[in-house]
Amino acid sequence: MKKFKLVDKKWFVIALIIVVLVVFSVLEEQKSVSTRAIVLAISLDLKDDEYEMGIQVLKTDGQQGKQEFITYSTTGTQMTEVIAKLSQDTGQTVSLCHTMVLILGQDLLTKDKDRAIRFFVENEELCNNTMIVASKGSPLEVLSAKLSNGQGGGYYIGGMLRNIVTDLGVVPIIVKDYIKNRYRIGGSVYMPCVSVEKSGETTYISAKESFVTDGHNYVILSETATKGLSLTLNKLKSGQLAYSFDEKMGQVDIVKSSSDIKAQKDTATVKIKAQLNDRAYVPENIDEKRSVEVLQKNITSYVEECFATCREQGIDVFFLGQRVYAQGKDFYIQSDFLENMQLKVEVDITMK
Amino acid sequence: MENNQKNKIYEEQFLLLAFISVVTFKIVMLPQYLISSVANNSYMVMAFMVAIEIMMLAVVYGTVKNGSILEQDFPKWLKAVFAILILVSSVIKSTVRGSEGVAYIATSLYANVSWVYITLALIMVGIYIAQRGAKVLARSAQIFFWIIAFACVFFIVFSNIKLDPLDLMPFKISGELAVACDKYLMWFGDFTPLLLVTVTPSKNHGKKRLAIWTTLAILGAFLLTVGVMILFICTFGEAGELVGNAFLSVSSLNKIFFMIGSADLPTVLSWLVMYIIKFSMLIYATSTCAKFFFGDKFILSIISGVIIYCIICFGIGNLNTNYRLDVSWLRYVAFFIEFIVTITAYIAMRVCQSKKEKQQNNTSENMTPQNANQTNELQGEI
Repeated sequence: MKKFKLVDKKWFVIALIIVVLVVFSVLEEQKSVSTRAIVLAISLDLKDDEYEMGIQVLKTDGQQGKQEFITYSTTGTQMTEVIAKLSQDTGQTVSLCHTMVLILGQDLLTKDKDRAIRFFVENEELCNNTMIVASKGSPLEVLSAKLSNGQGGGYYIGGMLRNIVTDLGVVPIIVKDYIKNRYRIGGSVYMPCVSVEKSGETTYISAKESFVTDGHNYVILSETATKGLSLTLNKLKSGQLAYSFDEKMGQVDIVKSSSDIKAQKDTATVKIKAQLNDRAYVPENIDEKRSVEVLQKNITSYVEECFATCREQGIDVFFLGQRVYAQGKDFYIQSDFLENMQLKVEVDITMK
Repeated sequence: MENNQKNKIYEEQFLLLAFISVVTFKIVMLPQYLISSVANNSYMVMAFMVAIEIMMLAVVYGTVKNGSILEQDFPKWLKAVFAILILVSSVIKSTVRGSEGVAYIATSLYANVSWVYITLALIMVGIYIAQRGAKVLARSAQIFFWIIAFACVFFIVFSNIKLDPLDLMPFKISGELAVACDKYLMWFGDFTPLLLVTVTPSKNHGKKRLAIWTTLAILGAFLLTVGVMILFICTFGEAGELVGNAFLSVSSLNKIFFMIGSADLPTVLSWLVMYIIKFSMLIYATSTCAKFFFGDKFILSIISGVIIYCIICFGIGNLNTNYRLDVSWLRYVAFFIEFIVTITAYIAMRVCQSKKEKQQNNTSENMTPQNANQTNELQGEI
């Protein structure tokens, strides 16, 4: 006798699949891309214990070349509140996961105790590869700046940061590196320091300096000290180095560079190996040996300037405390550990 | 008989299921939790526990090559005890560990979708595969293997590997490691579902090939668990305690992210298929144990799935509750069952085997040549 079957198993499975597909397609939480405001850049600062957040979105009207960078900004005591307000202002759900750059104000970097960054990381609001820069003035001003090339300030920085090491010798940093460094002993972080500059009719973004902070103290490193930082942290593997000799300017290309830092009880040794190429420009009255000497001297002074400026503010920019801890020693906890540290810089240059 | 056939898998398939069992849940939230406990020494905890797990899987293999533990010649009461224990362990694992996968999908693939819908889709796939038996489970794993293999190759080729000793040192063996091992027991010891399959030697492949695959599976398991842990520490340092979904977080920072943005789809896919196999395996274990008591009925698979669904959606519901359950006393129950059942099953199998051998010896000793001839004749007639 044939067994009675209410529903054929095959049809049962097919019906279930249809149910799942229908349920997923009508999910209210899954707003389509067209109803989302895709944020390109964010500015964030602290003002009177309130967050001031700006977002830059790109609006296109479908025609090629018609692009408009719109900036929205608002304030609030909680990040969730600020994001909700921005969603209200834009009339769309604000989506931060495609943000190219996060422009932070100096107050936020030194007074917020990383609450905002932790919010972004823990809630996976931002991608770990979003760039971070510090703003010399108001970050909202940098974000909303309308540059002479027609681009929005935030969007321009996002694109520029990719080549920043090569062109300017400034160390870019991403969210991942920021939080990693903040958790290291000393907790120092470094990032490009940007500002809006005007030269006649031209408005542009300058990013030649670096901002270094331990979450409380901070310094802005000069262009040369920034190069010293980049070389020491093993980041400057291309680009140019300029030097002068008898009031004549010369320039070499960096082919390769590597560095090694060793920390002892009262001495830190930075060894930099650089392979340079003198095809860029060499003054007439200088031979290779002399130019190498000048460059060695320059690089040494860049690194020393970087270290001394940061040490003055108690910032362990080369992570010497972490290096001592990695050796299994604990003298980094002494209060005068950084103060008494002497820096020895060895530069080995090969001309190619 | 049909059921026996449904649970038969080949040695290579067993290896693949074992590999998925070891790897799946250790590369998502566990690295984050381990870093919050033992910082840069967490890879040692991972290596130690994975090594134990692999050793236990060798015991599982030794047991199931003679058949599923519910089909071997054990006393019925012992099989019933095994079935109850595995049922309990599988329900705990499938709900507590399963909800971690649901959270991963709800947050990483979608923008905070309700667990109710995600679990619904997963549970239906799980029930379907589980109902079809271990053979389908293993075959699905074999088909999915190529996605996993491709994702791993992609991950290795494009991974931004910068192993800085500064992040891994100092190498310190302390009591904290043992405390971490104890605290995160729930993530280790996922081998009892494999006791419910029957492993048969594959017809086409020799022992040499099996040895190569075994070595590759062990190396792969270590690479994907300890290797990812080391990479995670080197990538995020101690800040890893803020970063969830380790495998995805590490792979999204690969070398091509500057060119086209984070390219993490292969990783998402590979983990998802591993999760589906693992989740189905746990539902399979739950329903097989239930069927031991109530007979081979399709409805039992559905009931098991519905119970798991309700616990995940309405009992757990979020990652915080999931974590609280993970580190609660439930971890001892699950871990105890996983180890005790595996070891007891192996001992029981050996005892039964030696008894059988003794009986056979006795029978052959008692047989006179005349009796033996008669027996042979009878056997011939039969």
